[in-house]
Amino acid sequence: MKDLIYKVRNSEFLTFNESLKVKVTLVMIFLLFFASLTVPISIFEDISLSLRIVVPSVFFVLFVSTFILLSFDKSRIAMHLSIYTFLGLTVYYVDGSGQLYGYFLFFITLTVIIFYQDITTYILYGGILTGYGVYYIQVNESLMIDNGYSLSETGPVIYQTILISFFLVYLVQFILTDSINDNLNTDYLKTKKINERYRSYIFRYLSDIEDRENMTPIKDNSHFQECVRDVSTFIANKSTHSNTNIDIHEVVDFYFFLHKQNINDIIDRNDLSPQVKKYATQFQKYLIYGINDLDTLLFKGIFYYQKGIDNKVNRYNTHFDEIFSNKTNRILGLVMMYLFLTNEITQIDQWGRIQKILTHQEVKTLFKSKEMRQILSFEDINFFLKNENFFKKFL
Amino acid sequence: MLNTIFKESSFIDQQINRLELKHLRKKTIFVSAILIALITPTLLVLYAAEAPFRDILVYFFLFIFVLGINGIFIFYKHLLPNIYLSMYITTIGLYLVAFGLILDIQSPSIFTVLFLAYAIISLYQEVKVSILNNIILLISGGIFLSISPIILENANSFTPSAFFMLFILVVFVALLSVTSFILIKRKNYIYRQVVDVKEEEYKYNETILEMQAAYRKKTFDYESYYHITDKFTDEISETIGISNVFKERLKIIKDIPKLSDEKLLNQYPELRRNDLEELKQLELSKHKKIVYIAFKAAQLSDLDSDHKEFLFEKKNESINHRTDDFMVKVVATTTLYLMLRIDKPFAEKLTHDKIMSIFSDNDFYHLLDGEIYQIMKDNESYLKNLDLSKLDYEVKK
Repeated sequence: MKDLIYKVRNSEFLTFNESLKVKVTLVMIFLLFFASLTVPISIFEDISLSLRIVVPSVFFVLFVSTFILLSFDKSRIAMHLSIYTFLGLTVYYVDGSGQLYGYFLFFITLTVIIFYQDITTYILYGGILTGYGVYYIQVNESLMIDNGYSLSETGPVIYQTILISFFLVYLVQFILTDSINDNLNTDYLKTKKINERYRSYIFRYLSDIEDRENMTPIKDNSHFQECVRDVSTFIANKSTHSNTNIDIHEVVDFYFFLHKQNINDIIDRNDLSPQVKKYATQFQKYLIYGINDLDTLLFKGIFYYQKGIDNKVNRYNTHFDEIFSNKTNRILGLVMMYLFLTNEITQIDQWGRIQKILTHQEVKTLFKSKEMRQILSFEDINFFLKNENFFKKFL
Repeated sequence: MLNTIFKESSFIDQQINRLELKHLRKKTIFVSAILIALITPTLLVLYAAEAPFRDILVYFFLFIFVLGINGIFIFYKHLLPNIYLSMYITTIGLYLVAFGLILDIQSPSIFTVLFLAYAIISLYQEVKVSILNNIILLISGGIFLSISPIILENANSFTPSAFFMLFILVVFVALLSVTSFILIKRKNYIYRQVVDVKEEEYKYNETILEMQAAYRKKTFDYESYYHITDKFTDEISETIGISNVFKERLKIIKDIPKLSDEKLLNQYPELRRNDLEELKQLELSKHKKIVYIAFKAAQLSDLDSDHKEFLFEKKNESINHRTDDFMVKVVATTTLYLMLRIDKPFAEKLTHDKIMSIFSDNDFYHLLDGEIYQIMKDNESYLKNLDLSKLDYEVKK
């Protein structure tokens, strides 16, 4: 239980599958609690004997099956089973007991489906349940009439309208959440790609500087290697793993050896032991300056105390529509951007060096490309194309 | 995650809040659209219930009032950036309509309008509104069920007890609260990841430009940019036959790094604060935003970003992968620590204390193996006293 609460509290760090597993477990706890309170009482309702035996038995089988599936990491099938269980209970109560009671259960079951936050599941099961609810109220209209009230005849319509509205509002929520998250996710991925490229530029410059200044790369620096060996040995000896028969010195030596090798070749070689291949595969993420996990963390550490650019307003907006409200500023922005692109090194040349400055024609192609819609509007691009010769002549 | 980029967590919080406000404005538009769609059915129900015309008008104006408030906050975002007030008013307004309908109509069928109100408000996915939403539904639902049993008395064949109805209400609120909790946590996680990666983008860019300048032994000549832009605008203005409206702006842009905002606003009386913020986007020596945009633009043409991967499907880059051997993690963590402690051509070295402060940051901590971190923490004197004098970049012999 403690573990479950911990997982809910840190749910943002869970993968989809882990998160789904937690959700199914929670639903099963709710279900157990709910059924243990309601099933015994419903036995006294006007329900046939066979139903009184069949329903709790089926419930029990579904319940146990769901937990078995969960323990085998089949969270998705477990989710479907838990929904079936709730759907079954809803139909059982609606048919067997009070209509108002059953009507409320439609909302509970919809809530369970919402809880899983899966739009397809919601549309499918939620749609079927809502449809069933509307149909049931329609065919049992006489039972749903609010006798004695001013709305006696309209009662069923209100029941139906609220149920449909509830379903639709959550459908809107699903679509809205998905659309916002998708946009943010795309933005995140694109920026991450750009960051990876920037990191590769930094390493290229680093390599150029090392060559020019005749410096030893840090991975080849014997003092650095020695220091890594000493500190690693110290940590390994203090750890609970100190009794293992792995020699940390050998591990460190192998780590630096890998910097001079093509790791994929090592992994593909048949004459090497599985242990060697395992270490090579694991170290692949931690090679120095290799666009990998280690350098991601290295830059996170380096950037921790840096402040970045000074803009606070519109800090992350790059589209001209968002950062400029008048045409004069847009033109100035466009001119400065063009100037930068045609005068500064921004790309890798055909020889793999960061040397390339874009030509007017290349900037024109870039401005006309689909990707530039992230920055410029059609209006900006039209201004550029219309005054192309001016840009070319004076900038 | 707040602190993973740099120590000014309040600044990162502000940026996350800006992102949140941007999306809340979008959600407010959706909530308003739903409210508009609900006006007619609500008035029709009241009409069918033979409510007095005056009462129907009250409901109508309550809707209009809430929609008006939402509209003001949506359209005047510069004047009213804090959209939270609009959300609170909408929440209270919507529940007032629901309470009114339950009390006016007093029919079992109308009771679930509370669930509908709850669903509409949960669209915001904002923590304070979500708490308010849960509290209002629980209290009001409880009160209506216990004080007004009349609502329940009329189920034709079976009258469920108030206890069971209350139980259903609690289950309903509990499930949706957990749903909201998970959604809000995920949303905040995404916001933070996006802010994180965007901050990194600026810093990577800055590092590249610094390395480029160091490698080429040439600094970025922003003065010539202003000069050439000025000449260009002279030419284009003359050709079009208008006065050069760009000149004054370029003058202000050049003054931005020299003067404070207040002094600039005093010196240029026609300059508004919004204009000043826009001109800051064009300033090249201090703010450099347009430089970053241009550099980013240059990368867009051949950037492969078709690969779809979702934030929650991927494992973060870390030195704490479950599948990795402990010794591999030891070597990787040691390398990271020592790399941070030495001078590099692209970054200055950090002290042991600063590194441990980064490592202990909640989000960075999760990227490291707990046992290795603890050993480092318990043996700080050993790490502090390491002789690193020979570790700086050395010239080949």
